[in-house]
Amino acid sequence: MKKGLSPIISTVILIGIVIALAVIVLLFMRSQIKDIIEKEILGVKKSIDKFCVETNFEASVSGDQIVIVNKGNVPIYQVNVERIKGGESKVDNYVIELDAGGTYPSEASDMPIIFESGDEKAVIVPVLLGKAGKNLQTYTCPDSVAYELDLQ
Amino acid sequence: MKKGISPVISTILLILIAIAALGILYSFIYPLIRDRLQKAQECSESKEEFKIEESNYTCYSEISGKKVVGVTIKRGTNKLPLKGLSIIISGIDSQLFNIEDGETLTGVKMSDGSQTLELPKDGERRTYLIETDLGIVDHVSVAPITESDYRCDIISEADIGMCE
Repeated sequence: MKKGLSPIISTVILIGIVIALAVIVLLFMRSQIKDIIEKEILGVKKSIDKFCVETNFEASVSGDQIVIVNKGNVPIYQVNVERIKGGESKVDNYVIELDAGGTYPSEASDMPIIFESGDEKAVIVPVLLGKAGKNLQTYTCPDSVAYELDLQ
Repeated sequence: MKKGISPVISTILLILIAIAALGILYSFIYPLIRDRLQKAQECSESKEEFKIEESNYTCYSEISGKKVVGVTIKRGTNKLPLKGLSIIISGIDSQLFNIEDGETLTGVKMSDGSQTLELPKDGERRTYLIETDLGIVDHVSVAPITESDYRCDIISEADIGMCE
């Protein structure tokens, strides 16, 4: 007479081990992978970094202020303005919520983007607003799409 | 009549021995690879964190027979917690300088003359003036130092010449 674990019990144990391993691998992978930020514009949804290359904006100097015009279709949520002077720089962030075709600043209540005398150059990096899962999240575009403005 | 432990008991014993063996192996091997994994991950994340800017300030000048090398470094926007950065100046020989926030280092100052060193903040750039005894200087490179005090591989480098 043969004795041992019944085929049903051994199958259940095997399935249990496989499920436990799968859970361990899944938890490890989730900790390694960053959330993907997506954005939807005019019904087109894609990874937000793809929209960065589609941004099209221009900056100009008016008095001691920087004026930004959004000439593209991608709304710009924020700009990080790096003001460069003598090999050093300082970055200030401005939430501008600039829709397609808009100009910033456009109202008296808008915080002006001011530069100081001696600043040589401003590098303006757009920041877009997207969704990571259900949460809104900002994404800073790479320097390759930044706008360089000569201030002298 | 055969006697001995039943197949059920022996299977359970085997599973327990296997689990115990895995546990012992894990407790020995994991600490060995954990540090390497952590360092590799920190270095991988910081590989675009510092970049040498080939600006007018990344060059060297000779003052009283000594070379003073200016290096402008721009930081990325990844908001990574890093302890510092290493600047390696080289010609025929090389010299390494570890820059840490709030520290001072003989022969190194900020471009405004301050002796207290400052790392670039996210997205910003800083220029360091470094005095070196090297006879020939033609290359500069930078490597991040992680929070666990590990110097990663070089992530940015540039050739330098005499300041105009």
